[in-house]
Amino acid sequence: MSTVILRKILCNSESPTPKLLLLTDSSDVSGRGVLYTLLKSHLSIGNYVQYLTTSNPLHVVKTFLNDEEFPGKIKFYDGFSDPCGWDSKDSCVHLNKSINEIFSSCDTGQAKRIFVIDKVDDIVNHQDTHNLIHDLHRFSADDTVEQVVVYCGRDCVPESFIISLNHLSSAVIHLYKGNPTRCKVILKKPSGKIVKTYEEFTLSPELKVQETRAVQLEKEPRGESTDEDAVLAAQTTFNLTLTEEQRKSKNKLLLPHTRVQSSGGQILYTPDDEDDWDEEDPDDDLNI
Amino acid sequence: MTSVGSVSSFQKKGKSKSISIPGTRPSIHNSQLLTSTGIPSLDYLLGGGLPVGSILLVEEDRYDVYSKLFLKYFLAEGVMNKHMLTVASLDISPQSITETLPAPVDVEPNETSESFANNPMTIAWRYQNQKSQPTSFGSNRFSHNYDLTKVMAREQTFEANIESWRINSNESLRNSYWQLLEAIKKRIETGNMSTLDGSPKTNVLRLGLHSIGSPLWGLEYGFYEKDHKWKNLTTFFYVLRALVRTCYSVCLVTVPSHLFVDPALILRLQSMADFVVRLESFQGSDKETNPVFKDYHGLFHVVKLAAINSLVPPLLDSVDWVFKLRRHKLTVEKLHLPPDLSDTVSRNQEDPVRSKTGPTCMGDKLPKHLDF
Repeated sequence: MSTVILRKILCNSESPTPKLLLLTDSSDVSGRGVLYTLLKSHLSIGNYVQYLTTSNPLHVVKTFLNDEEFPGKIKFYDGFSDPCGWDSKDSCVHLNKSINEIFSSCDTGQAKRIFVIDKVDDIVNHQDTHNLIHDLHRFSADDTVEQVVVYCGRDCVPESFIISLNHLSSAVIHLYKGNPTRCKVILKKPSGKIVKTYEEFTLSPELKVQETRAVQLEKEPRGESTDEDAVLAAQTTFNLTLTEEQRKSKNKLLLPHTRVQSSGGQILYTPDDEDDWDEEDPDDDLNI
Repeated sequence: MTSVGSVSSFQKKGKSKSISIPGTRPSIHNSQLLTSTGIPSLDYLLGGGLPVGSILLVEEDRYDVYSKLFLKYFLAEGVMNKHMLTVASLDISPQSITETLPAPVDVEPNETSESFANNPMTIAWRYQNQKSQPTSFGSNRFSHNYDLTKVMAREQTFEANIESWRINSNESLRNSYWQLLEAIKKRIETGNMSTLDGSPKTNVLRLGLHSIGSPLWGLEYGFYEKDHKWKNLTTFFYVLRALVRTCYSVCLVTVPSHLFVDPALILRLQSMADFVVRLESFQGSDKETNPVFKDYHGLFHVVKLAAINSLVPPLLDSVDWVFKLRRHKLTVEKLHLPPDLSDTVSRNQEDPVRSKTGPTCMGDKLPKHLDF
């Protein structure tokens, strides 16, 4: 059912898991809640999360995603404190390194890896877009990686970059302002099927997705024909509609031409006594 | 009466001068050596097949579902005729394409519904004896039949002369176009396919290039003309055409033109290719629910046909084409409007297919109603 696509993605019940998930928001709506919801569900099933934060200091993120709650299951990369490498702090990640290098140094054991980039806008500012796209593509083709979550503010990056992220990702969630929050979900299944829905949802303070429901586009389908029928019926004294029974009997009626059809076009002729059998073509004088 | 598209069985007496390479045959129109694309209905549209030395540009549908199938048919036909194949892709691994080619079958998978044939027409009874649209275009087809539900046997693809091109990660990502061109050139030389040496040829090289110009190839898709940064992509096509022209090869390139932010870029590429078709899938678009298109999977725009040995390209008997993915096969058909079954008689007069007129030679000057 279309009503559950967002919930399915956020609760990891979509199978197989979309390899590259793009989550975009804009300045008037924040996708952070949705991101944390998704990660909590990843952590609860034992996946290993590698989290690169660039827009929020580490302690802010940790108030939502607590290490103690999931010990040894989450690793943070601090790309916020020293993005350019000017202070040469060892604990920090420099954003001019490729994300391949950033995420490489990690031994996860058996658990499947989840890469989180929060947010990709800041990385675009520090490194080459083409290399970044290649790295993301390489991650999403890697078997040891369960999912790459790319969180992106769609107002802050070039349009062409959003296009390419859309192209690469197998699931896209665009958030829009509204109460409840609206979102557009595109899911590309490996079979080639495309699911595209508009949904509304609310997030509870415990980061649970609630009240998901599909919404129609603002564009309403044209329903004029039924109205017109009603208007016509009100104006006339005739009965313009048929009941089911009347329709059946109408279809049963054998029309003259159908009778001709069913006889198969044979010419039945009984010769008369006066019949004058002429071998010549009677129409040979016609100039056809 | 012969059906539309078939030709007379008249043949010139004496020794045929054309070279016999498996999977090819001379064209009846311009005696070009033709190869099949694997889809008979597409061959018909291209004038019998894809001439050796030409490029077919397929503009991908939005999610690259159907264009991949066209590519697979093209490659499968090459495997069946033991052609040399080169497959290149950066978006997906070339192996994943060659491992999932459709399986050849002996008979054409026929899926016409029997119930329709038995059901006599009560109202449009005059049309009852009209034969429905010819599903196979002409009896003289030369491609094989494929079944999409099955995958070609591994031995068959293993035996075939397939080269999968992947990017050499040691070199810079910037010149992936150039790397591919060098690989093709090397392939032509090692396969001795070039026409320059004058030796008789016994094989054809098929180039299947997937999603050229996608974000993984470079950032050309995101630039506008004023940025002057299309050079890599346009040069690639130019050199590719030169390479294909100088040897016994045919090339099918798919391009994600829906990603291009400046439409002028695809126009450049179109002018470089010999045949251009554009797929417009109904998936995820509002045409999916339009009752006019309920039997089809997408529009098939014939953008450009090559004019070989003539001034104008062949004129097609219809301008609206659609493709349809049945369970076993993919076909390109004429768009037939379904009967309007709604209660109100008037149909929406707006043409949902296209806004501008098709490539008729008279253009807009042709009067709509001819008086006699």
